[in-house]
Amino acid sequence: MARYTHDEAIEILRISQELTELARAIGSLADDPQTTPQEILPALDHPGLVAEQAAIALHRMTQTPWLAPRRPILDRQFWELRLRPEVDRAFRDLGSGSWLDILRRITEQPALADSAEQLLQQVQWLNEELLSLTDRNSSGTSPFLATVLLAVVHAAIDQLNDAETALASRAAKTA
Amino acid sequence: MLTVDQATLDLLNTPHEAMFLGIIDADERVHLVEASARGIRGHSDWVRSDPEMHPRFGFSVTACNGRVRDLYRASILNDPRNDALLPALMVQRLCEILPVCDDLTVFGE
Repeated sequence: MARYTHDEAIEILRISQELTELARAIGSLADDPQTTPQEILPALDHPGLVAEQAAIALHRMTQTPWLAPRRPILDRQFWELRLRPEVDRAFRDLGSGSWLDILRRITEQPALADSAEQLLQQVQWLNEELLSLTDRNSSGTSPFLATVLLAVVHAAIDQLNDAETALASRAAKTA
Repeated sequence: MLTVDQATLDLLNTPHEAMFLGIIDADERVHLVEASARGIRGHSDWVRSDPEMHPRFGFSVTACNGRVRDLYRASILNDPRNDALLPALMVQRLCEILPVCDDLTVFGE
């Protein structure tokens, strides 16, 4: 099958619920140098493969680090924050690297140090729900730090889920 | 050398166009599952639901009547430093062992 044109792909992402069409649409957009990250965003609303393909494209287009290998960021709220112009500028100023590198560089910047301290405190609240964290965060922290916080929280929750899965698997084997 | 068993190839014999997730494991065996089957909607779901699977690479295909129409190189299972793309050599090997259409579209090139 041929690729979709740019306009066809955007329209299909908007209206279709057919997995093969959606995958072909996101594949066509991801390979098209004219595509903007904002045009990819709606694909994150579809579950599974389509969202995964969209997230991979967004990471590549924005040079944003993954949470870990096999752990792209699938959360639309994160990407909407990440694509805001001021956040994009902040990321470019900080340069690339892992999330840990980015956090380290934030804490080295006097203008961001207090907020960074708050950020680190918020990260320690990982027993709380992601949604309540992000709601609280969005009222008092800059969009850039909110973006970083979201990524860090996602990473931590992923690790917790992995640990739970491993524990459940071990319990099943010993039962 | 990549291998794929007949039962896996038989999955591609759908009368309607369908989407399949693919994994190449550590022993270079190719595994396929229809996306959305058994609640598996993406590679994340698949790996989570099958802890015994040891994926080396991921990919996806669309197929109809036993023929692969589209091949998607991007997968969360691949190395992010390589834009999460299935390496070109693996694409070539896959095309040698899967029944692909003459006008196959490869996404991620």
